[in-house]
Amino acid sequence: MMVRPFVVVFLMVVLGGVGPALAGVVAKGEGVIVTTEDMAAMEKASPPFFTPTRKALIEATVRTLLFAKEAEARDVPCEGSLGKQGFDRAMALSRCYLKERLDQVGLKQGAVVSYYRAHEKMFLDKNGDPVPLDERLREIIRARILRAKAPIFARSEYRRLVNKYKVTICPEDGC
Amino acid sequence: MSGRWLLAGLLALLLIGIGAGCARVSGPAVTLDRSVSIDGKSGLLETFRAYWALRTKGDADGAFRLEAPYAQEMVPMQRYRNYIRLFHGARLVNVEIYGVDSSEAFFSTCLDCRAVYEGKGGGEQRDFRDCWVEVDGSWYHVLNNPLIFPQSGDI
Repeated sequence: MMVRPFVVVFLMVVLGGVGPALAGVVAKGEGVIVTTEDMAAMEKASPPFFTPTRKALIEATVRTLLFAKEAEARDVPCEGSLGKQGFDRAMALSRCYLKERLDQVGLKQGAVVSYYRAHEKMFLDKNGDPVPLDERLREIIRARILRAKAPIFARSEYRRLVNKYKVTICPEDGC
Repeated sequence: MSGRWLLAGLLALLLIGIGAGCARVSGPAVTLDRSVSIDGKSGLLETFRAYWALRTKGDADGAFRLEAPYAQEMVPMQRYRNYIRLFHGARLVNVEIYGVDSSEAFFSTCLDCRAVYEGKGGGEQRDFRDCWVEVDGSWYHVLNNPLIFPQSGDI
């Protein structure tokens, strides 16, 4: 007996909407599915002696995948991702995305100069004279500020993308 | 007809005046010791007053805008809000500036201050050093609490 195509579609939709199809999904959104497999890969890539909570691990995984998705959508150049597959590739793309966005956003006017002026003791030479704020020193200070800004910016960017893609984190028993 | 317009104009001016008055932040009284002079530091005292008024009011967002630009980039806003909340319990009523230490090379000025807080158990005094830097003609506060804001420190 031949099964009519619409019956197949109906069964796929109905059965696809329950349990087994979403097993292993820890977060989902528009065009975004984050699985326990992704989470495991994220955990493997985390620094040793560092045990994140389930929530922190899911958020880190979602963030990595969202940043990677944006990197691809924006064609962010990323040599580090070449030849990589799966989650490793997503991690490389995510890093490139954050770097590119930080470069785009830049620093507030006066950030470098105010850092220099507020840390007088740090910028005195052995004779007690001020080390001039030349281009090299500006770059060192800029990198220092960006290093501290990166996690702050990443958190706000994560929130922005979670809203953009309407991502929700599933309860422990699945979505 | 012109009388009505005049009346409306006067009312509008009155409302604007009231609004501006309300927008001013009342804060602690700031006094300068006789020996202290901050002449030549245009705008520093006004910014100092505004900053401590905002801090006293617990207005973290307002005070954050007067922190040095580098700190605005390096300090997470939520941590700053918690920090302001921490010091909001006691009411700062008076700040006396009794010392000034300026560095011309670094466009910075540190003020030695004595704060008087009003608390349940009567007044309490605390001495502290409050540093400021000038950038593009404006003064900004220097956050100096390595325990709470370690990220804004060493290079």
